[in-house]
Amino acid sequence: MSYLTEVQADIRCWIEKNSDLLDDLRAVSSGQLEETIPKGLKLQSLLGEAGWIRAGWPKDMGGVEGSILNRAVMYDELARAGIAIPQTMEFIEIVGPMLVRYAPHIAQEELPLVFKGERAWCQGFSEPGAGSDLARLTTKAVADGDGYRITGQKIWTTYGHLAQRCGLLARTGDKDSAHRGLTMFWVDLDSPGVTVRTIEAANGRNEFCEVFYDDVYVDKSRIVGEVGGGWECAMFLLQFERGIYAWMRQATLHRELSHALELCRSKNSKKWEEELGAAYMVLTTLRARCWKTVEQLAEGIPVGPQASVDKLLLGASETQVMDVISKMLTDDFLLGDNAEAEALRDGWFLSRAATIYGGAAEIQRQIVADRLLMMPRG
Amino acid sequence: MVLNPNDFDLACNSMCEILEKERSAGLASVLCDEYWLDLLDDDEQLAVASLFEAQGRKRANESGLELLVRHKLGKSLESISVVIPTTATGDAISSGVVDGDQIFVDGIVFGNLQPQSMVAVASADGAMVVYQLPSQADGLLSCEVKGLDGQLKLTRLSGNVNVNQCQESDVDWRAAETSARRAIAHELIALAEMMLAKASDYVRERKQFGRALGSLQVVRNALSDVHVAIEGSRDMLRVAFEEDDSLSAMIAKAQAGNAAQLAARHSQQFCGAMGWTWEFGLHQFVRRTKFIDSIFGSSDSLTRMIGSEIATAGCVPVFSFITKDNV
Repeated sequence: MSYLTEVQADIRCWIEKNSDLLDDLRAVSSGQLEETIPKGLKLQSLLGEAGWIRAGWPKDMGGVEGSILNRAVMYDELARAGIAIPQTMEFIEIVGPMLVRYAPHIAQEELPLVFKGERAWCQGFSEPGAGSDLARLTTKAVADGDGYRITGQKIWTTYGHLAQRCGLLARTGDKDSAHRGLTMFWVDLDSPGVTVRTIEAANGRNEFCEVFYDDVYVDKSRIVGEVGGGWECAMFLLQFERGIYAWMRQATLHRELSHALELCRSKNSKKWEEELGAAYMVLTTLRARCWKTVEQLAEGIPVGPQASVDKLLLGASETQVMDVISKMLTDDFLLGDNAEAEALRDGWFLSRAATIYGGAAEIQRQIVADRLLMMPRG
Repeated sequence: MVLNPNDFDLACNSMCEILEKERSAGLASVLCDEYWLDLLDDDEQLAVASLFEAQGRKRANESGLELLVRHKLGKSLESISVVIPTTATGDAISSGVVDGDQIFVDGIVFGNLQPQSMVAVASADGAMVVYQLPSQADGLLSCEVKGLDGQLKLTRLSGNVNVNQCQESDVDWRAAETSARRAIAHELIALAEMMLAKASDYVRERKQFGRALGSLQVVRNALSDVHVAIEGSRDMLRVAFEEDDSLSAMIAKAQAGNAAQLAARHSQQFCGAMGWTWEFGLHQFVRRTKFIDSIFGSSDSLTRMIGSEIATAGCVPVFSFITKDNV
């Protein structure tokens, strides 16, 4: 029996044994974030206690035996059992490896709290004037004594109002320093001068926030990596956003597709069968692709521009799967007023964001054209 | 398992050499003499990847597909032709259809027709029944066809045969079909890569309005989509060898077919009038793509079949390759 088969069997056994506890946490993907995030944190603490989410992190940071592959298997198993993967784990998986590598002293402090379910993190990258063109961001960090004073505005910060810490990208260089003048800060969101305002998304949920920084003092010990090394940190982090995050999503999408099939068994399937086949094909292709990427991450091999392929396959999977589900359950989607119908619409609207956040699909194609196909630049 | 790139390059280059030599000798005899059939038994993924990618790159004028299928059906079948399913029977899953006491046969044979032929027929419950029948049976017509891809030496066998002239065979058609689909997927991926390379070279060089076509976003985005489709198909195909089941092979073939069809469409557009000439040679890759995508289930019909299969099952399978031992 392979090592991961054992891991899988252990997790299945744990899920079964704790079904009473876990049942209460099922289907947390519907409803307002203000309810789902705390529920997810409860699950996060159970997973931390059992050790599953601690696998593969350094031992002096609360980690235990294993690697990112153990966690990938765990996400698969949660989805298989119909338990929503805590949304907060997404940013833990994306931001955590960056902290371990570039700011181990912060990771030592933060990860044990993550494993207790006491931490949600967010990412402060986008600004009103810097979305796809991230290197143009203008939030300013000015040296002041033993730290920096940060002033500026961030936007599209996913569940920023429910997070305690933020990985913030700010400009320490002069205004023309582009990507060379950026620094990554680890900011307490309850610091004086921070104002968080929620933004209601197209699905009616407070998915993201505007975060205003007004002369916020951050100690220099809260710098991740080097001053001026923010871009390197962000690029390192993106590999995980395109690898393990995509893996978590494919697990959930498999589950959603099966769930939709269960709900619509009696309906006339001829209308959407071909579309279902196409969506499932893209989804299995994504699964095949991002497992390879996660294996690479486990071995510490840099993923590079190839990760854009994963990201494009993820966008295609999200949109195709949710489109076909909205057709399979068209009555609920269009006319339903219960929680199930609401969750379905939430999910469909969220899938529209999958080709926008974390680098729009157009930017990913640009990376493929420039760096993999070596096309002349426009 | 991820193919060792060195093993693959070595094997694929030697296959390319064999294919050059074969232009006079005949592929089947060359491959039988060489180590390929042994390799097929030892390491199917390497054997299939190297031969069929070489075929795609070289647009071989003969295909190893029938050799592969026959070998998979049983080693003692040397003098028997396997009739490959084409769209003549509808979805290209079977090469015959039962009609009362008759079997309506329509399919193709690569290379020379042997005295006996094997025809796969789908029964009412979806199982495949394989019949062996004399290639010269009353009511059967065989003729060499050029069709869309005249470079392949094809014989089309068609007509109605009385059931009592046919003998039911106990070979495992499903297993052979699964192997065939993965092989065709490799060839389609190689064809897609050749077309993408041709189009990429062209748009890097070709200038209009003072700039290379490859600097235009429309062109760059479309060719990026082709690259993504190819890379995704490669990963899916690798998983299909690990899973070694019918569903994963269907997906792998359909995805490779989609990638090659997309590569064909975009490269034909972006190579412009030049790509439309005979001499430029793109058409030969397009012809081969269209033809091999159509056999053993086209990407369209496989997509429909996959959709209907999971709709009937009521849940989607999650492939388990991640926990398989693949050291």
